[in-house]
Parts: sequence; C-alpha cells; structure tokens
Amino acid sequence: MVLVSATLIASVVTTQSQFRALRAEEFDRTVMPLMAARAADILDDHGMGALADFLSSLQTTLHWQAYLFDDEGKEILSQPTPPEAGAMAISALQSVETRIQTPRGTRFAATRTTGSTGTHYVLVIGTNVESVTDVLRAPIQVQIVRAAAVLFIAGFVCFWLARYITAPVRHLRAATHRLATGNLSARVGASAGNRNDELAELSRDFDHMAEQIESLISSQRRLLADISHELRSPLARLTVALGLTRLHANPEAASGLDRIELEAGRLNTLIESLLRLARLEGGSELLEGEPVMLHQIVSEVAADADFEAQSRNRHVRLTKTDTCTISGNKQLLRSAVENVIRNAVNYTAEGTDVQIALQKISSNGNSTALISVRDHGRGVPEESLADIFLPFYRVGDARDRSSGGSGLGLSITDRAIRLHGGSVRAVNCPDGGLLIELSLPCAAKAKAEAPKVPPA
Amino acid sequence: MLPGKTENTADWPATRVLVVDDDVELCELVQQYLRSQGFHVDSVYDGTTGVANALSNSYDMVILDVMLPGVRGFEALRQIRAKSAIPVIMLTARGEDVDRIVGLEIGADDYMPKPFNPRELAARIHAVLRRTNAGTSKESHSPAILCLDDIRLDTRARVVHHKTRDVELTSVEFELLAQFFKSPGQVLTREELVKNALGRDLEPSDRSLDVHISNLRRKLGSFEDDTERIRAIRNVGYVYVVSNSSL
Repeated sequence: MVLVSATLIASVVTTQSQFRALRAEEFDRTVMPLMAARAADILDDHGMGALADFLSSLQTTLHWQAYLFDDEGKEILSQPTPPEAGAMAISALQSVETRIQTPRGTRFAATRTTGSTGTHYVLVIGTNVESVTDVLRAPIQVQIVRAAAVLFIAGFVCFWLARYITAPVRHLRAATHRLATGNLSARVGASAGNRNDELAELSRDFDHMAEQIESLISSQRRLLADISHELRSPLARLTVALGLTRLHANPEAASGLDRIELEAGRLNTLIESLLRLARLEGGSELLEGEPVMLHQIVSEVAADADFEAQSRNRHVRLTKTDTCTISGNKQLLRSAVENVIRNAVNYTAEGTDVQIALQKISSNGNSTALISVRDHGRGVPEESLADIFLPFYRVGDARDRSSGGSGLGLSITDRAIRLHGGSVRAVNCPDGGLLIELSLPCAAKAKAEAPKVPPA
Repeated sequence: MLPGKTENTADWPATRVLVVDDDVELCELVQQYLRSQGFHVDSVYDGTTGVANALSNSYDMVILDVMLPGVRGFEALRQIRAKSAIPVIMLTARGEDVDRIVGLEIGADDYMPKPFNPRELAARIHAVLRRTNAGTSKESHSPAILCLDDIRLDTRARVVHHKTRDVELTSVEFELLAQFFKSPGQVLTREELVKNALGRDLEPSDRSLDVHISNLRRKLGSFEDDTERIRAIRNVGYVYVVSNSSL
C-alpha cells in the first residue's frame, strides 16, 4: 500500500511540474503574443502614456516586468532595462521567440509583434520562474488536502485489492487446516467464488486432492477392517476348537494344548499390534481430541503392571505423578504408556524395580508432560538407542522370546506419541538400565467436550 | 469351572441359545461346545433370519456377531431390542472399543471379543441366565417388591414401574437397579456392580458398566427437581441418590 500511494504521489508531483512546463509553453505561445499585440495597439492608438499605464498595471497586478522595444531595439518608454531584456529584444526582432532565465530567478520572454501601422515591436516580459503558473498553482492547503485524498484513495484501493487477492488464499488455508485436523470432507468449494484466475484454479485443485485423500483413506480403513476380520476368523475358530479339544483331552495333552493356546494368543496380539501400527502409519487414525487425564492412565497402567510383574519377582513403582491433562486419544495414549512399561518389566533384572514418573514441566507459558520409565536391565548399545523404536527391531538380532513382546510395542508408542505432537527418546542410565522418556505437550486449554458416556 | 463339567441345569429345562454369525464353521464349533455344556443350540448365518428367529419366542438367549453382512449386526440388534428383551451377547472384534459401546448402548447385555475362549462364552451365558432366572429361583430372603421414591421394582416379575407407567429394562439394567435399591444412598464400587450385574470380573478399560448405567439413567429419567438419580463417584463407582423427601 505504501508503494502504491508513493507511486501515486510521485506521479502527481511530476505531473505538476510537467504542468508547469506546459503552462510555461502556453504562456510563451499564447499569452505573450496576445500581450504583445495589445501593447502595440495601445501604443499606436492611445500613445505612450496609455502604454506606460498598461505596462505598469502588469507590474502591479501580476508582478511582471514588461518592456516594449521598437524595431531598433530601443525601449520605447526609455526606462532602465535589464541588459538581458535588450539582448532578447534584438534577437526577437529576427522573428524567433527567445526566452532566457536569469540567475536571479527571473524568466524573460520576448515576442515580436506588428502594430496597426505595420511597425515591429518586441514585448519582453520578465516574470518569476514560478509566477507564470501562479494563477494555476493551488495554495498550500489545497495541496495538503490533495495529498491526503490521494493517500486515502490509495489506501482504500490497496486494501480492497489485497482482500480480493488474498480471499481465496484465506479460504484455502481454512480448508487445509480442516483437512489436516481430520475433517476429510473439508473443501474450499463455493467459497472460492466465481473467479476464473489461478487462485480459483488452485482452490479447485485442492478440492480435487482432498477428494482423492478422502477416498484413499476410507478405502484404506476398509481394507484394514477387512484384513482384521479375515485374520481373526481362523483364529476365532482355532480357539473354539481348542476349547473343544480340552474337553476330551487326556491330562498329558494339557501342556501341548496350553502351548497352542499361548501361540494363538501371541498371534492375536501380533495381529492387533500390526493393525494398530498400520492405522497409525497410514494416517487413518486421525486425532479427535478429548481431554485425557494422563496421571490417571499412568497410575492405572503402573498398578496393573506391578500386579503382573510381581508374579515374575519384579516390581513397578510410581515415584511421582503430577496432574497433567492432554487433548488426545485416550486409548492410544494408554497403549503407548503400557507398551513402554511392559517392555521395561520384560527387560529389568529379576528382583529389581521399574521406576515410573510423570512430571509436568512448565516453561515460557507452555507445559510439557514428561513420562519417564526406567528399568534395571542391560540397557541398549549406544548406537541402537534410536533404532529401538523401529518396528520389529530387536537388540542383538535374536528373536529373543524369553524377553517377551512382539517387537512392535515401542514403534506403536513412538507413532502414537508423535501423533499427539510429542516425542520419545531413550538413554542408558549411568548406573545401568535404560531410561525411556515420553514427552507430550499439555493442551493450553483442553477441549471440554462432554464425554458421551460419563466415566465413573 | 473345570473343563468338561457341565453346570447343573436340572432346575430348569435346557437353555435354548441362538447363534447368529456368518462364519458357518465357527457356528458349528460353537454349537458343538455349547451342546457339550448342556445347552440347546441353533445357528443362523444372516441378520434377517437372526432377527426373525430371535423374536419367535423359541429362544432364551442370542449370541450375535456385530460384523454380519447384509442386515448388519447393530441393525439386527436394534430390531430385536425394539420388540424383545431377550438377552443378547455380542461377538465383537477385539480392540474395537466403539463396537462394544455402540452395542451396549443399543441394548446388548454383554459382549465377547473374538477370538474367544469358549469356556468364557459359556460362563457369560450362565451369568446372564442367572440374572434372568433369579426371580424364579430360591432367593426368598430378598424382598419381592422394592420401592424407592417414585419407582417400584418387582424382583419376581422382573418389572419396573415408574409413576404410572412400566419401564422396559434389559436384564443387566434390571439387575443394576435392584442392587441400587437394596443399598440406596450407598456407594457401590464398579467391581461389585459388574460382578453382580454382569456376572464377571471388571476388566481394565471396561466401559460396559458405564454404558449400562447411562442407558438406565436415560430410561428412568431424572427426579422431579431435575437432579440425577444415579451419581458417578470418580474412580470408585456409582450411588443411587436418595432424594430428600424419602429421608
């Protein structure tokens, strides 16, 4: 806007000076000959006295110095004349209009004219450089008003222009934002208006893309649901058949049947984890934030894990729980925390504790929830610390069943935490064991959606 | 329950169970198992037939798969519930919370995630039946009629009367209300509510109790002064509020 108004003002100023130059030309071309003719007529018709009056009136009213020369270059009224005027008169007699500017800021113009008696005269008029256009130049107040008007109009035009240009961009941003937060039906649509420019085409392209994304994601969701169903059907039949077999089995068969049940259970967990991971990776598990009380989840999971761990001579201790509320998916967060804790319990040495803490850290007005899980196991080689969050990654390449787990837990945790805008990291503790930290941004204001089913 | 031992069903005729699932082989296996436990079992493989049979008054219990093609599981459940209070146990995909909650809201009594241990299925069937038959069995020490404020509960007839009208409750909802009425104004923990009303232990992240309570609240409505009948006590359980007038 500044640019536009500056341009406008500059153009006005230059036209003004061009104006002036134009006016000066007109003065020389039109006004001078008229004046000259008039002066000659007055002299011829009414004599020198009248001429003197005429010339002095020009002086008084217009501040013009006016001299009339005869055809020999002599000033008729015998007044003292500036030397330039005389010189100009002589050259003007050669029928060429001349004008010069004296350093003192006076502009002389000379015009030859012919009187009624046929005699040549030259009228020389000296004016202030500006006064030629005096009549035409507006006083300073008008100039200010003009400038203000220019600024105002420029501002208005700029504003309207800016809005017009950026309106589709704003609509596009709004639609993009809606799409990103999970509203797959977000479109720019009609709000783009009837424009036919590149921005409108961009809006149409966006809508097209959004449609593709929506159909891609819903077909992916359908595929995952189908896979889930198809994978679970044989497992469902398996477990019922297993139950039937147990009814009629000899006691010797019991351990074999137990083993089958165990592996079927592992298969089931694996399918579940894989599907969950696939959903997270594919982006079809989009976040619909509800307020989640992290402290509640952490204490529940810790208590359950402790109960299970005790049967294996290990313990889970919760050392600190700050109150933290986060906007997100309760089940996902629960799984994320569970996987890390379960992992720790699997790897911690017999007779040791897994220590868990939930801290709320505030800085610069932002709060972060930090969940730390520390075990007393063998730790992880430094170079693999980041890799443990990859799917199926196992330290040491052995499909080490004795430590339990399917190798997917941590990658699900990683993905789920990142989906909530957080991050995970693992470090080895100086006195042995591994420390895993989950950090999550606390919602500035957790969306207070009324839960569908009030929990007790 | 030890494997191979059937529950003593001598007190009443063999329970007739209807299994509705499109997996024919699974139905066969389930049938085999349940029959060995003393149940009478029939299977159908689509929703429409399932609904028709369920409403035909020939069964005491329905096992319904939510992932039915055609008339989908929930739709079938809705249709059954519209006309009958027959106990329904849903078969759901494991880990799909939303399936469970939706089913319970529509009115299923309980759910069983697939794959499942058939022993557990049998246990849940028994639990549901115990509730339904409780009125007709030898529970003579508990009063037949329980009254509280504007509600009258007949434990024998399994009927609830609110002011001038009868309220249709599923067997789980009835059982929950009966528990509340036996200890009005007392906080009942989630564990004991689930144990008595659903006949099983409380599982972690189990929202089924919450859904049943929510349904119960909806059906009974609030008190005259718009206060909530059943209040949730965070992390503990629920309490049926005794209004001031009856103190």
